[in-house]
Amino acid sequence: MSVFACRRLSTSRVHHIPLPLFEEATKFFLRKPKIEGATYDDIQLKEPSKDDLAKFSKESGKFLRFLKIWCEEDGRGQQWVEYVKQYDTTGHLTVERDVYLTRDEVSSAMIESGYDYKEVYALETFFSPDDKFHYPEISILFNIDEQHTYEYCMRVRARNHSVVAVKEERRPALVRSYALFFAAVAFFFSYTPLSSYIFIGKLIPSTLLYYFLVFQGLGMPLDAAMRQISRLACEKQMMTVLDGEEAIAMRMRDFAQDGECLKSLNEFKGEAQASLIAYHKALVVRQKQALKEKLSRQLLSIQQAEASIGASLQDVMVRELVKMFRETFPKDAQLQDAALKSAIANIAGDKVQDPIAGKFLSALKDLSAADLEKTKGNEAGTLVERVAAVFQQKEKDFLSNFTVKGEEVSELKQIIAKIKTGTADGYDFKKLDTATSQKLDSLYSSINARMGFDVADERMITVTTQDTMPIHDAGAADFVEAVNAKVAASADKIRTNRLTAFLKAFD
Amino acid sequence: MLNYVPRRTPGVKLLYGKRPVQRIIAGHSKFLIAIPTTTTDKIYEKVDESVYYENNTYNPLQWKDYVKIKLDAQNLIEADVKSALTNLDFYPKIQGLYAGQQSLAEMDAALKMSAKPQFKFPLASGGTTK
Repeated sequence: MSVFACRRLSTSRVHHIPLPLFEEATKFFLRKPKIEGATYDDIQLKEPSKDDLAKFSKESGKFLRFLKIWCEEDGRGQQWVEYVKQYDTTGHLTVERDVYLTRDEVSSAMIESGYDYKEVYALETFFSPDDKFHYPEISILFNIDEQHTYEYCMRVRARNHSVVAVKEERRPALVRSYALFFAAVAFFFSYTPLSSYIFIGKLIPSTLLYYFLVFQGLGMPLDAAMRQISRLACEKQMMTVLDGEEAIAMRMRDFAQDGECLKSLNEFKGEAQASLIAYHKALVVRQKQALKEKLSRQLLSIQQAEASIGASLQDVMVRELVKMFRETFPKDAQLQDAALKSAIANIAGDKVQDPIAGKFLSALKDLSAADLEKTKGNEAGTLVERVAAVFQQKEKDFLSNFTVKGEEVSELKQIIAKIKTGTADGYDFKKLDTATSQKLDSLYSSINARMGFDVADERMITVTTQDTMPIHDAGAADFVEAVNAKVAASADKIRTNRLTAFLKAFD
Repeated sequence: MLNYVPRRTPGVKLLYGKRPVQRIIAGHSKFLIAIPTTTTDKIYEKVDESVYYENNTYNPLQWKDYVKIKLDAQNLIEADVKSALTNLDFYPKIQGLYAGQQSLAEMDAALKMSAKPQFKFPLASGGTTK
């Protein structure tokens, strides 16, 4: 069995499990509703033909409503129309009374034959457990020949030991069969040699009674013992069968994964191709995203650094102004004298300009008029020179952090001069010795990192051998070797590309 | 041990073949096993449909086929493996193929991105590179 599904069945779905049946005669009489012109009989004893079975008129409005929906779903609307014509004007169908299936028997057959559970639920929801489906209804419901459905219904009824309604057979009223039997026995015993009082009245009754008692005394325990032995044997056999089924089902459940495995294997090629295309796209998107993020971060850093310089300029001015005052005031006697006089005049109520404030205002005026970039910085000079010194230092730090330095440019130019070929490729990197090559790589990395450029690096690419080791398969190992060679060749090309583009910017 | 197989006729199996799957209940645990009818039909190809047993309910299966099925069932029960797909040698190939293709995809993406990085570098002396 190549493909199968196996699962545990919920108990609600199990209607019957075939177990050994043991028939017992009961002391109770079976009571059934009286039917005019019919009587009941055991289907297995009577073995009635189709003509022997009693018929009745069935009202099937509920079934017809369900059948209409069912046929429309199946695309058999015309069949429903033809079927309805079998009904009489009052909407009744004349059919054999006990040739039917119960709702649960129909749903069991549907489950067994692979019907979808939704279809079974629809049937079980629409009909109650007491509803009966007679064979013409089964026939139209599942589009099966009526004769076959009749056979199936009779088999099910016989298997369940049903008592069915059959047509009543009326015997002749004048001479009853038991009267003929009585007459025959009376005639026999009247004209045979042993028809005496002793034989008829004593010997036969006492002998019959004796053997009856003997068989009753011995037969009952013997019969019970035989029944018990037979029951145990059947139960043991059934348990063995169920054990075997259980073991096979468990194995099948294990092996069910094989089918899934083969299915997955068949689909692997397509999935792998799709995933590799998606992976390729994802790599490009990720690289673009990384480039964008790193560049944005670097631009933000530059913006923050510029803002920081601007914000700190005011602090620098105040600090340098105070510093200059503290340094110059103790040494300047004229300023001290003017400040003292100004203070005394203020106390006297005279309006005199404060010489210290005037000096501060004068310094600030000079500062606003000065070009800090062109002014030569001097930490011990005027306020303008002091602020210019601090400003130029910050600018130098800023340029150092966010631009390519002059010495780096000159180093690169030296390298370019060494390896420039004048061909289309531009540079021959094989001319570089190991130290210079490492220096070039170092400059490439540090300058790009400083600029915030995130560039592809062949060293970040996964090396195939690390992913696939250990490979014990010759074919796979060959493929891996071929890929590794290609990866190595591509890695050289990537390095050449990126260094060429880098050096051309400085050439 | 009887080689009886229930007939496929609707008189015995009412709805057989109406759907592509046949379900059976098996074992103490009441496993519901769904088997494609294409599989069950292979059994019926070996059935002698000219002979009937038990009220025309069963057909006999050829004894050689019946014994073969029984032996298969016995071997299945005694099989001490979880899968029939043993000794498979394609996993290393798939592993190598997949990892190799992954590396090639990475390399191809890196190669294309390294071809034209149009960057300009600001110089400390002022201005930018070409």
